[in-house]
This record gives sequence, C-alpha cells and structure tokens, in this order.
Amino acid sequence: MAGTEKNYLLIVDDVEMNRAILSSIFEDEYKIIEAENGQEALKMLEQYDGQIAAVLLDVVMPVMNGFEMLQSMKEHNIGQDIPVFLITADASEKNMYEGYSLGVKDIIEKPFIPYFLKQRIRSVVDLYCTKEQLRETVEHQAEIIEEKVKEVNALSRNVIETLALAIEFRSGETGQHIQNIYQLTRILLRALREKGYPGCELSDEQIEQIATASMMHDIGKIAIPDSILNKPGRLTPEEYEEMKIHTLKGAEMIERMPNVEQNPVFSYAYDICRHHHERWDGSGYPDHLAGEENSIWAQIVALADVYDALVSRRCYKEPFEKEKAVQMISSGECGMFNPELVEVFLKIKENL
Amino acid sequence: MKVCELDQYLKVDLEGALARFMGREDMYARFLYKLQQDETFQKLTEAVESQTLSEIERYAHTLKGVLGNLGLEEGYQTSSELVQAVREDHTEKIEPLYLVLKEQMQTYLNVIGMLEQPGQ
Repeated sequence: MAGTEKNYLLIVDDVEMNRAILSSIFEDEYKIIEAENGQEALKMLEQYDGQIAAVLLDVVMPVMNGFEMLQSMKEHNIGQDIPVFLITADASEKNMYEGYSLGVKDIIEKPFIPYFLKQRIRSVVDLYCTKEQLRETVEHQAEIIEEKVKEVNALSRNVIETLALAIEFRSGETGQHIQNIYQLTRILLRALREKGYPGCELSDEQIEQIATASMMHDIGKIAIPDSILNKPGRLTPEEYEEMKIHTLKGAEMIERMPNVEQNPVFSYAYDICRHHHERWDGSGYPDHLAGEENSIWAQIVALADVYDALVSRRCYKEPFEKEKAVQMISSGECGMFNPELVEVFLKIKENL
Repeated sequence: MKVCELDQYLKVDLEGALARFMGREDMYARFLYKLQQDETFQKLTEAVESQTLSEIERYAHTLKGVLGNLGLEEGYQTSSELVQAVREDHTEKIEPLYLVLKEQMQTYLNVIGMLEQPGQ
C-alpha cells in the first residue's frame, strides 16, 4: 500500500479515454490527478510535492511529450524520488532504451491487461515505500546510536577519571593535578593543530580522546609502595629506580585491559603512561626516546606534568610562581623539551 | 443494440476491452460512442492528403492506442502497420493502408451508431 502521505497517482496522457481507463483501474487505491501533457504534469508535480506515489506517463503528447518531461524533471530535480512508469503504444527498442536511460522504472505497452499493470506498479511503489521507511528507520537509529556513543564516552571518561583520582588520592593529593593535565593537554594540542604541527591534524574528537587518556598518565603508581610514593624528602637512587617503574606498570595495566585495541583512548593512554617521562634529548626514561621518536601527545603530557608539578605544592616542595615555572621549562632546567612545543607553550602561557 | 452484441457485427475483443475498463460496460460504451466525435481520423486524413509524414505517424499512433483499448482489433492492426510504414520509410504503403483503415473506421462508426446511447 502507498504510504499515508503519498496517496496521489498522477496520470499523464493526452487521450481522455486512456486517462479514464487508468483512472478507473487505480481509483480505489489512490487519489487520481490528471494532466494532458508534460507541461501540465510538471506543474502538478510541484503542486502536489511529497504526496505523489507514482506517475503513469504517456510518450506521444502535444506541447510537451513524455521524454521531454522526464528530461525536464531530471534537469530541474523535480520528483526524482517518485517512480515513473511509461505507458505507451510504442514500446520499440529505441523508446525503451530512451525511457530507461531517463530513469523510468517500468515500461508498459498499450493495450495492457489491468491486472498485470496493477501488480507491476504496486510492486515498485511498495519497494519505494519500504525504501523510504528503511531510510527513516536508519536515520532514527543513527540518532539513537549517536546518543548512546555520547553516553558511553561520558561513562568511560568517568571511569578513567575515577581510576586516576583514586591513585592520586593515594599520594595524598586532591585530584586537581589530573584536571590540570587534562586541560593543558587539550590547550596544547589545539594550539599545535592550529600551528599545523606535523602529526597534529587531529579532529576535536581525537583531541578529546588524547586529553582523556592524559588523565591516566600516572596510573602505574598504584604498583609503587606507599613508603616510596609518600616519602617526604628525597628518594634514594634505589627508590628512584623503583619509582620510575610506574611508567612501565601503567603501560602494562592498559595493555591488559580487555578490548583495548577497540578504544583509541587506550592506545593513546598506553603511549602516554609509558613515555611521559621521556625527554627530547633522550635523557628520560624508560625507553630513552629522543626527539620525534616519542609521540607528540606523550611529549605534551610530559611537559604538562612537569609544569603542573612546579606550580603545585608537594610534600617535598613549595609551589613556584607561574612565571618562574614557565621560565624553568623553557630554559631546560627540568630536562629538554621539543623546542617547537616549548614555543607554543610560551604562546599560550597567558591562558594558564 | 447492446455492447455485448457488438461481436455479431464486428471483429472485437470484447473480453479484453471490458477487462481494460474494469468490467464497466457503461464506461466502455461511453468511449465507443465518443469515437463518433473523435477528430483523430479526420486529422489523419488531412495528413495523408498533405503527405505530412510526421503528422501521419502521430495520428496513426494515437488511433492505434484508442482502437487497441476499445478492442477494435482490425483497426488497431491497420493503424499499427501504418505507423510502422512511416517509421520504416515505406511511403508507398501509406495510401493503401489508409484506405483499409478508412473502411474499417466507417464500419466501426456505423455499428457504434446502432448502440443504445450510453447513460440512457
């Protein structure tokens, strides 16, 4: 059956008898509208826009014939979602080719048998209805999926944040650090993208994923004993070596999570956990990556981590002034960073 | 005379024609009756006289459709051949085919004239 809103059938034929015959065949299924030539029919297509289920079209007509009408429909993008059927006394090969190439759905030769005509038209119209309904269903489902994806993303961010927070609480901190890293990572990524830094051609979504992953940079600290983690004062060389292991432990934890490869956040997180203590000159740990051997996001988190540590109060130190902290980073006092990254960092320092 | 008696006077596909008019004898009769006022054949005559091929093709084509729908088989056949003759450029066939068609049309109009006027 025709859809509820598309219940008109347009019959285009210059011979009254032909229109009357077609009309009597379909009048129990459709509201019938008639046109005597292509030009009239085009007007009706506009007038009844969105309400016509199908067009039955004669070929030979005065003023504007069927082919000219099809051509005009194509050119002006009229009724392109309506199935058109040629009803012609001349179903020659040439006409059939021309008809199909102009987009008609079926060609029916006159004189026709009404029953067969009805079946042929019904099956195409039904197909169009189904297609339309499917399209609407898919559209609707896509909206739902988009909604669900947002929910899942928010949920996974919550879980990640909670995990990172739990670990930070262990070190007697407030959770402000991971928030700061998250914000700073985002700001730096956006600034690098704007600058056109190679490898930073990222979408907003990817930046969000990396920033979320940055919150996990220290999760490996869960494997570090309290005595080292919360020791006031300097660590012994042995203790320091053990502390360094948090990078490897963090990466290992990420690696062991189920379905890691399906969530880009975790592949960023792996990199960030493992490499947020590397330095530009290769003097960092654990893999002594130098220069661009390290990913830009791990480099960013490394810088953000150092900056936030400098401006925060810790059990072993007082906070530095922002200006001082920025200066310490740019001078290389806290290890070498990517000069281009530092340059961008200096540019955004007002927003800190 | 009633529509169902037509086949006593003419070679006509009553069954097919009535099926096309959804079994509605009154509608079929109405359009048979209308053939008396139909100008297509007159226009075809003029086209044949002036030897305007495109017009001959066009009116023969229209007539073919009308006669086909009405189940008037011989006339349908002749007008089909006339269309074909023009398309295949057999101009020598046009005149004889036209004359056959003229006779067939005359018979149709005579017999139709004997029908009870539809709607009465």
